[in-house]
Amino acid sequence: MSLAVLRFTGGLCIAAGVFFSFAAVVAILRFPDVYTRLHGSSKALSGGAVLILLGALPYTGTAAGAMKLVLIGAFFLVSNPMASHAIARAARKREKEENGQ
Amino acid sequence: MNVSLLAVLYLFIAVTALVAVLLEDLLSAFITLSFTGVLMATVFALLRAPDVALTQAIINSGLVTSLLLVAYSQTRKIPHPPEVCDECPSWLQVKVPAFVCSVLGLLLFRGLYSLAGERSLPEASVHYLARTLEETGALNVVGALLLDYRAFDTLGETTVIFASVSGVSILLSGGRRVHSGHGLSYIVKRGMALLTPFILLYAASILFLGHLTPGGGFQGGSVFATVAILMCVVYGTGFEASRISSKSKETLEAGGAILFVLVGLLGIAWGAGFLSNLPAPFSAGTPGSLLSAGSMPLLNIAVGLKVGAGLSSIFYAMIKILELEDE
Repeated sequence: MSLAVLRFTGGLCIAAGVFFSFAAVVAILRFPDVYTRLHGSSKALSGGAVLILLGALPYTGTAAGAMKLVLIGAFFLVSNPMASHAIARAARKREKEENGQ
Repeated sequence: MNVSLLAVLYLFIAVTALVAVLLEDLLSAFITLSFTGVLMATVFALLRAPDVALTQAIINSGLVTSLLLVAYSQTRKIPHPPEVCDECPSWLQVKVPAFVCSVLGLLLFRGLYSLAGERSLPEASVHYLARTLEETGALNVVGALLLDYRAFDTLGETTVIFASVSGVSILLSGGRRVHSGHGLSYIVKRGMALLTPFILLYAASILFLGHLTPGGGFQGGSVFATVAILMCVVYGTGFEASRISSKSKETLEAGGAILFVLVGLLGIAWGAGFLSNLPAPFSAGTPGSLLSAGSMPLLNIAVGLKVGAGLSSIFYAMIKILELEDE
């Protein structure tokens, strides 16, 4: 288990992350309404960003840098679902209001 | 350079400014102020700064006067509040501001005369004056600086104007479409509570380590303002206003500006010029330590206060205008 193997795995992770992020963009452009778009984008973007950060881990070189990446990943895992939840709720509320009028 | 002509202009500037302050009628005060602006433009032209003179003449005498006139036509005159005594002469009612202005005026007066004399230019200015034609092909050195050497900065400045214009036009379009009184759902509120300390820590690290690492007062202050803005959005404007009152935001913003100017004036008092860093009594410190780089940490804190408090109160004021009343 050398650094080269770790870096190769990291590269695979980054490639997978790029694929998921690309899928998120396709979802935003192609899905018909707010909810399906959120469904596609939030999951794929969380996964994509965290995978890219994981893949960058072997390339940092310092423990402090690796720690920062882990913290950024944790921030993504907390904030991204939260934001999607808030957007979905706001969309639902607005839909109700427009149907009520 | 005709120093006595400058002295006469300075005298007239002081007289017109005083007249503008003492005039009861606001319309006459605006006209007098625009006259002050024209005189200042003349002074700038005499001091070999024609670009500044042009801007001064157009912005101060033209645009600002017309903006003031528009504001005048949109507001009403209200009578004096009863606690202010009507018998006192008007200069006594503004004792503290008058004192501060006189002290500032005395401090700056010496600088006015040194501007007219012969100065030794900083190294960078010497380079630009000697090499601009060769490096950019432009005869106007100021134009070459704005549109060649720091064209990227100029793009940023125009973007700032664009952003403020879009903000104002959204406000003036008259639509009200924001529910911000009671905030978002329980999940978002809890999650925000989890994240807030980390955002604050990040902002503080950007702000206080501005002279050591990338970032500084402006960036750190903006992140601080982000916390206030997120509180407005997530917990509702009422909660934000109850935790950080607009009064304290105003105080912080003014405090930042005053701190910045005081640091600058300390340089003048030391005889080293406005905002001079190491020639003034600031120590360079050990490179890499928290207290190093002279006045830069202080200036970072000042800018951070100004930007943080300023941006958050701008957002609060705007969202309050757009806000729908809760049912």
